[in-house]
Amino acid sequence: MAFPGNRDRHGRHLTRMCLLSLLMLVGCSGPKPPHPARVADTIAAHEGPVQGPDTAHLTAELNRVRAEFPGRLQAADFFVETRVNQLKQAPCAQCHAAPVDLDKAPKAHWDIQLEHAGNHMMQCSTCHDPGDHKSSLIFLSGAALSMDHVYQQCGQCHFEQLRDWEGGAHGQRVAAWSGERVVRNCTGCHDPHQPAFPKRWPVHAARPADETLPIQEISHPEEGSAHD
Amino acid sequence: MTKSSSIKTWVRRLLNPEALRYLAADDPEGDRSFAEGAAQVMDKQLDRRQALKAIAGAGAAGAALVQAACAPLGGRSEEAQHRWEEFFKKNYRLMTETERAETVTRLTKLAADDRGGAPHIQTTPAQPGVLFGYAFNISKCKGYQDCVKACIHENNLDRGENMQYIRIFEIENGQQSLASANGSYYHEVPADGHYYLGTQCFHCENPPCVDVCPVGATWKEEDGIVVVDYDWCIGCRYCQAACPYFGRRFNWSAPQVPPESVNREQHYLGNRPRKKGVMEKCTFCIQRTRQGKLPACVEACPTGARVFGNLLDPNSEIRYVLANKKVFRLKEELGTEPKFWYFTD
Repeated sequence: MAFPGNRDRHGRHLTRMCLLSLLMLVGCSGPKPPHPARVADTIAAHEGPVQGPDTAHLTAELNRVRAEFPGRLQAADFFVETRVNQLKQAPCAQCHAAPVDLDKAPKAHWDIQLEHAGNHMMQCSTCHDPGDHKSSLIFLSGAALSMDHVYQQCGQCHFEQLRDWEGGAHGQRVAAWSGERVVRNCTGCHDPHQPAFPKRWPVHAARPADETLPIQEISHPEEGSAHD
Repeated sequence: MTKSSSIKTWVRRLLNPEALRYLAADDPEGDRSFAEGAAQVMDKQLDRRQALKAIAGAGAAGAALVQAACAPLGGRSEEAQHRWEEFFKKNYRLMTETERAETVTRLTKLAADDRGGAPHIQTTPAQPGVLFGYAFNISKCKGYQDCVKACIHENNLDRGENMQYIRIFEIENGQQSLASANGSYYHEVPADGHYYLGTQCFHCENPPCVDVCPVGATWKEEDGIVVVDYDWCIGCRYCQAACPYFGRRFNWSAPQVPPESVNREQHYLGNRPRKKGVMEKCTFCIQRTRQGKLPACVEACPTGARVFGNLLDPNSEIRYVLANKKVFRLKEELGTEPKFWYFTD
């Protein structure tokens, strides 16, 4: 009471306390949105035709041909890597002038082992016609087909894979995610004579397990008590 | 008069040339520049950053002097200056275009000194209308780890610690738990009766790692990529603890990359060299994807198990996967909303 400024100081103290409690109140109802954002909502709100980065220079060098689906009215809007320019032993007419007897042991093609759905179903002549169509493949019907469009031939049986390949869930896109869509041909990844991927060693040895924490499983309280 | 104001007055009087006149009276040729310079500093209002910058400038000048005297070739003073300026630069998000260009120039010069070749460091921003998404086909992955190798080379990962962003888990058929998965297998693959599942940073729409960062050194870009400012990170590893997917990696030691295998096509927020004590993680190969290229892991995958694209483009491959395949994400119940889906054939 003896200090002349005491009353004033007391008032200031009260004001400060009020301000502090106000701040705490505001702090509790922070700027966080009440519900976390869902990717699906973000997509729905912003989707539309997009002009992505310019990738013409990335796809310019690729040997590609527009995909074709016989019997469809609309042309496909994507490209497939060409095959013919990569082949060394095709067309067959480079070596074979006369029709070849497929029953004989294949001398020049000694390295080709056919492991594709079993010999009762798939033989050389299922896809090749060394008689009439030496520069192409054949459909099951016997009609000729360019090797660039081998996906049509594979799709005769693997129609589900063909559908996913066309959509983008099977196969692999080349060079760029935006711009012109160029995808690998079936034979770009699979050896048509042995289409299954072979067993081999990984190209990289992962870090030992004790240095990388495994993803921990979340245990829900009710589940935890049930186990106890 | 309060105590503090009396001290202030006393200091002012001490440093004021007028008040000091009598001190120098017996030496009329005496140098008074120190007192005058100090008085100027006292009169000027400085904030903390400006003061640090002034000290930095003085320090750089001093270091430069010493180095110029010791090194007859020169050039070290410029490097010292660059290192000081790098130390006091801003958070990447707060930089102006000019400041970004300046730091890129400095980093390019410093990296050229360090590793014997100048890198190209981009600052390409996110493009409107782009939201990156990723899908991983667990039916197709055979565990070859070509993706891991490609990632290590593309992103200049630490070879000393054998760091990798991607982990491929070998899981027994019929099992779904990652706790019992083998993340460090090394034998011929695919092993009979097993499937393979790869993880990396999932670039969550609600990233918990970003929420916990005390210094704002990590954030989600407009195109959905969660990035780290390696020069702003203080290495507290809160983000590593917050990530439910073990997506983040810490540099316990200075990263080692052989100079001949350094990828010099870099992005400020991507694969530019990191230092000891900072966090890093997958950036969806920001240096590639912002140019329209595919991430290195997607390109390297020999089985086509990896799909990457723009979620906002209804015709993209990733959208086909989401619309037509059975997809799932890890720990969906957490609400982190990863932009990384798994699917089967």
